[in-house]
Amino acid sequence: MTRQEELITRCKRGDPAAYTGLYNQHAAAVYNSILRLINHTGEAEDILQESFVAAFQGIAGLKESGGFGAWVKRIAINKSIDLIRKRKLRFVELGPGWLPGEEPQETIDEVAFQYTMDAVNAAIAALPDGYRTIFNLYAIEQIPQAEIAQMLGLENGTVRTQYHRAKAKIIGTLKQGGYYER
Amino acid sequence: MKDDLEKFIADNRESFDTKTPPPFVLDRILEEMLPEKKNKPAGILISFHAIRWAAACLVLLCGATFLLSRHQQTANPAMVKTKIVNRPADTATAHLAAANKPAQKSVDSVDHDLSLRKQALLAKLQRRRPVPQKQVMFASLHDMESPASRITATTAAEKLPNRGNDVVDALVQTLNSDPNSNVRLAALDGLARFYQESYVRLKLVDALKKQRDPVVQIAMINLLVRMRASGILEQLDKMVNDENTYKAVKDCAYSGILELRSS
Amino acid sequence: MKKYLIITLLSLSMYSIAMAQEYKVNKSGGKITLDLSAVTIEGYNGSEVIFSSTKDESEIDDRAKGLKILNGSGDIDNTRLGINVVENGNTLEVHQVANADIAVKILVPRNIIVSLECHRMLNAGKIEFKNMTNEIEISTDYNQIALENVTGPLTVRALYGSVDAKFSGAIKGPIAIASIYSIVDVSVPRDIKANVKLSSSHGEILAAAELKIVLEKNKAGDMISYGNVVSGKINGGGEDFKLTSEYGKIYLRTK
Repeated sequence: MTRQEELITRCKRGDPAAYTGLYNQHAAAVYNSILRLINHTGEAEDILQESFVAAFQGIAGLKESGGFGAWVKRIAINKSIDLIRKRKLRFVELGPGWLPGEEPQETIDEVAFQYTMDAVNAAIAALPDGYRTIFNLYAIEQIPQAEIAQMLGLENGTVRTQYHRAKAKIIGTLKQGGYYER
Repeated sequence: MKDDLEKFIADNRESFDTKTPPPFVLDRILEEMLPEKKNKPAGILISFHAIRWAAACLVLLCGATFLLSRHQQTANPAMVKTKIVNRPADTATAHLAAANKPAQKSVDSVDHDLSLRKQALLAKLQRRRPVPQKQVMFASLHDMESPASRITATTAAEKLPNRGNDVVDALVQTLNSDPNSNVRLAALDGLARFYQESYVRLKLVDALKKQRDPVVQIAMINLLVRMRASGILEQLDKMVNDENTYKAVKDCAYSGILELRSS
Repeated sequence: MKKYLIITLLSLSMYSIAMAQEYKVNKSGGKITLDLSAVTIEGYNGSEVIFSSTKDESEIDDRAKGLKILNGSGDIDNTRLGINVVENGNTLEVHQVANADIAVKILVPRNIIVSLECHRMLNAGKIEFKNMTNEIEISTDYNQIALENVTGPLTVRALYGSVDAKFSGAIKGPIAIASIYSIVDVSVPRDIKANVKLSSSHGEILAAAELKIVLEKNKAGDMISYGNVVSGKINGGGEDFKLTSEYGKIYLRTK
């Protein structure tokens, strides 16, 4: 039995040391995913707690022990989206005049240049809420666009366009910020 | 070309996860999970002795909090008002803080306080059952006020059996995210005894990327070189060529590269 | 005669003005965090944290009367000592508002954990802790650190400044001092019971002959030996004592 499988088995028996072990392994990753969507530490802590409790309570049904991390993270993301929707963050498509002087393009003029963590993080954080959420879910959490559309109650096409716009905006910010280097 | 941004993000996925959740979240999760378990084979027989002890503690706690709240009410003229910022605290103490007004607390809120404390105490007593030493160790690892108790916890961890790698994982988490460098060094020492296990070696090589404090970076490089972990060669190369690395760390990385390449 | 009276009265009032520069906070447990580039801290048997100025009258700037110190971080000097003091739950947070002109002494009650962090290069001054049984946590880059008559527990992380520590009384571990360039000079009572681990990659480790350290042989046989590591027990062992410096020398003395 691998170590992960052993932990899951002990969790199913209600062993608190196993809860602690699984929490220690996955809490940081889950917490960061929540924070990127919610951006409020108090609420993120609550969602973190609820997600792990839900995962532990439902652990009897977990067949693939290797999937625990992805599972608890997905629970957390779903709860975060619920909270965002409750706050009625609008995912309405903004008009074409948003990027000043540009028409919506299908191809982004991307030149290969040096990305840095700080610059990329800052550029993502600077996006308006709806675009940032979609960008996070697709590029960072790697959730397929069709699924994102379902989670947010949008059309597939809307998600695709908004993702594109978010990405264009990020690249624009990066270019302006002087992080363009060879 | 088109997907460079996505590729950068995917390659550096781990570096997006920089924040750490506060330790009390784990405590709350454990509290929620434990009172619900009714099928413990040993039975939750709280002996009469334990109940009397618990009752005595409750009386003491109530007495102490009553005295404390009375003390806080007498305004000291030499004291200037300080700003009190809200901070997530134990539910029991949060209730007490909220009720800390000169007026009498209602009987209801006192009863509520008592029942919350009782729950917390019972949960603690139940938790002691499975592996008492480990529970204390895991809890002390999260005592964010006192770095000394966290160091004591890591040295205690060295002597505990490592079932399912829970001890190793706790040490690795401490190594990666404790705010105090000396605690991280102690966790590193604790992990060093497992230097032959591949799981630990993997985690240590991985942890090197996450360190930002030169004091810890140097200790890690030294340890990894002593362990002959040649998996860090690429990482060492990066550090030597990154202008943001401290000179002392670069020197250490450089001699590490020489040492690993020659052995 | 009158002249002498006036002068005496004046100097007494000046003295009292200077002495009146005090800021007190009721606190008897929990933690105090300090973000200061120089300070003198002393333990005492009280229930208040008392902040005071160590400037004498000649150093007081008359031109500054009626004006407030400004700081780009937005912290407000709410103590008139050039520091901002704020309670945050169980922790008392102290931030430096003055840029260079900082001269503060703090008296701290017994059971409070004291934590100091200073990563500033400019105006990095001396950090002094005296007569304390409290747990101390220090993390600095350039400051000189002097601890006198302390017992621990103690964690120190330093980059460049020297670390001098004189322990006396009943030592409570763990004691952990880690640095890169600093010399680490520690004095302990002769009857101390400790498990010591002293290591310096590029410096020397020097110890008093009266301290008999029973060496433990380095266990892991197939690890490359690196630098100098002295591991052993004094007087049968007891508290954990770990002194590490990458380039600096380590001095272990006794009285």
